[in-house]
Amino acid sequence: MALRYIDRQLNIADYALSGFKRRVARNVVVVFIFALVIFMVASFSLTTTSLKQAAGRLLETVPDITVQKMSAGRQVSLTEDAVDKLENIFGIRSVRPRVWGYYFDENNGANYTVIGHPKLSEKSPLPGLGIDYLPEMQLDTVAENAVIGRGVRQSLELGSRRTFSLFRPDLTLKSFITAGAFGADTSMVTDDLIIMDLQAARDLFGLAPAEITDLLVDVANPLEIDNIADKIGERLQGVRVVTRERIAKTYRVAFGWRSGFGLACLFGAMAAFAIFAWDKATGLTPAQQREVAILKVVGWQTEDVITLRFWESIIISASALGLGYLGAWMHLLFFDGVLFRPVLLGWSVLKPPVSLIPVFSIGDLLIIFSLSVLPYLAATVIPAWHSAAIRPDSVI
Amino acid sequence: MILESWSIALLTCSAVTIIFGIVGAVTALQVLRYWDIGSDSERQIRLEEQIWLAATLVEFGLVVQIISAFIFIYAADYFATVLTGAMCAAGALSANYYGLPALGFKLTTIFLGTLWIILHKLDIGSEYFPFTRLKSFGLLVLLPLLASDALLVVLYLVNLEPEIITSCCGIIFGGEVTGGYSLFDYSSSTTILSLLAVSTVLLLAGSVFQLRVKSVSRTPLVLVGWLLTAGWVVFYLLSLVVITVLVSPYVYALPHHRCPFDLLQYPYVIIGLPLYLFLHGAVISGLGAAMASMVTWLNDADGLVDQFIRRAALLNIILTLLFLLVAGWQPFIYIVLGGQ
Repeated sequence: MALRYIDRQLNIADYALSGFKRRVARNVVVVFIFALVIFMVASFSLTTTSLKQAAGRLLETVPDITVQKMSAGRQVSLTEDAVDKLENIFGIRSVRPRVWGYYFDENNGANYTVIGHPKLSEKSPLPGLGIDYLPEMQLDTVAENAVIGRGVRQSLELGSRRTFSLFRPDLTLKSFITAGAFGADTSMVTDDLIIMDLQAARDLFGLAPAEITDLLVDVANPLEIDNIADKIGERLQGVRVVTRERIAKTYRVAFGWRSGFGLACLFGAMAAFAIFAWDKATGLTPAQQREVAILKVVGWQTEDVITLRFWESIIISASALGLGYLGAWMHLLFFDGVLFRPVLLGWSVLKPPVSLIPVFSIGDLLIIFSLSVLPYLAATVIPAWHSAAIRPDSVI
Repeated sequence: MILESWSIALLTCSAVTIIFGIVGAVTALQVLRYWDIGSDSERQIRLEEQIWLAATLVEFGLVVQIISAFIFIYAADYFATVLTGAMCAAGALSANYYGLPALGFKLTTIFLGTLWIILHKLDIGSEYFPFTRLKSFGLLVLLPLLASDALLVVLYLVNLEPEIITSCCGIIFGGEVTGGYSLFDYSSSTTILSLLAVSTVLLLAGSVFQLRVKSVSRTPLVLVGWLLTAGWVVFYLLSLVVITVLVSPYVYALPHHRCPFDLLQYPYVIIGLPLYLFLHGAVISGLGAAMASMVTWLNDADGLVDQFIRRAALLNIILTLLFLLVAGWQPFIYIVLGGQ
């Protein structure tokens, strides 16, 4: 019985395929437009998944706990003596102070992220980023050293020069010499970055000698992170303790929300296509009506004609899904998702030139399927019945 | 979290099924009002064609509901990564009052949709269309269920905030002694296994009785149909409890990981998928045979219903045994061989 059923389905699918070939020009237009819709939906889904993966990889290098002082709901400076209060908490591997802030460059409207490192000359991972930059460093003993991102170098139009100057709050100039530059592989977080000595960062932002913006805490046992975060909260009054997992969660929520918002905006295009599909399927040509009538005369039942229409829709959907998904994959792989990246990453003068790698996931495929193929199939169900309900005597 | 890709996919599925439900209900109302099998009027011929529309809508809607159920479970699994305390879909679904009821309604509509299609096949197999009115009532029952499902999904998504603190499977399905809420407040694994064993034996006996449908008079068959319907519902719920609290820890090889949803994630899906397929196949074929037994008093001039009851009863015996085999495999291996 099952074999007979499969055989029947295959025969109808075969007939549907031959019908597709007969009306190839008409069907190619539908497949092309449908593939375009799927391309947009798939691009969004694939870009979001790639960004989540990229963020996940980067977050592996983020310190376990970041401590910031809050006053009236806003972040304020800490003093370095906070380090001493934390160092004797059992389970903490290291506590590192940091000055972290944004510098607005009025010349070109760009915002640079400035990080003050306690030991710039030491060969250790960059706090908060885990990037080892020392191999490319040429430390200068005369001028203030700084390691800069590729975007900063372009924005400052340094060319072959190594020196540049930034304004302090009192508008006096502070000079730096480029001791190194970050590579392209870390550009997602380093593109707008300037790393300098802790004291130099204090000087640039006009902070007092012992002031810092946050503390970076590493914990020996990952299972103890939440407990140690609680202890830090008890020891330091009025601080915000942010764990890595919390940052990861925020990234996931932010990307998920933006992706959903983008898809909601695309909903108009999907609805328009569903209406187009409905209209196309409803308006049967006299030749198609005659074909259905002949099929019914030779013994096809209403159910068979509906199945035929279903197979036609499946052929169109599968072709469009393949083309659209492939297009989205190429869009991400060769063009870095250039069409939708601004929506997901945000926009600024210095955009992080992140290199996105497409990731295959069943979840993405389910979302793409349900947002594009399902509405198309749904839009063609009732017209399929209409065409199947044609009575031979009314046409022939 | 309604503006998530997963949420939008779920809402699209719900919108499709609701639209189909409404069109189906309109068709059903026309059939209930004007259906007259003895007439050969223009309206009657049109209604006979409309039966196909209703069937196509239910078939397609059923596929959408099945996809939607998978999306719901995978979405809950994703939501677990942003909800505090949730570690898998169980935690995400219990993050508010609407998650588990929404899943319940989805499964109910899938079961009822499948039964409707079985009834439709029996109906069109006979030249008298004996179950057309019953089918139309069925469509009218399906619509509010689909609407409730969509409403619960919307409420679940709207009330899902990343800041919600929820619990996960080890706590929700764990025993009270270990500090859990014990959502399935079972007294002991022996009791629950005994209940499952008794219900299985009774149901299989019922199925064997249905195999002899030709030599049985209608009244006991209808009575058995009602009893088996209740029995399969109990069996289904008991099986879910057994899978969650007794089978899944053996599959995960973690005594405190009691999750019915992670069984659909890699690598557990190798066991989880056949487990759920056999369970749902067994219950659907069992309920199908029971329903056919109940409707047999309406009409079975062509003997089609009898034929279906025999086939469905045989199928559910096979699927039930396969389900029990897959469910018992990991615990058996553990008990006999002492590990994986």
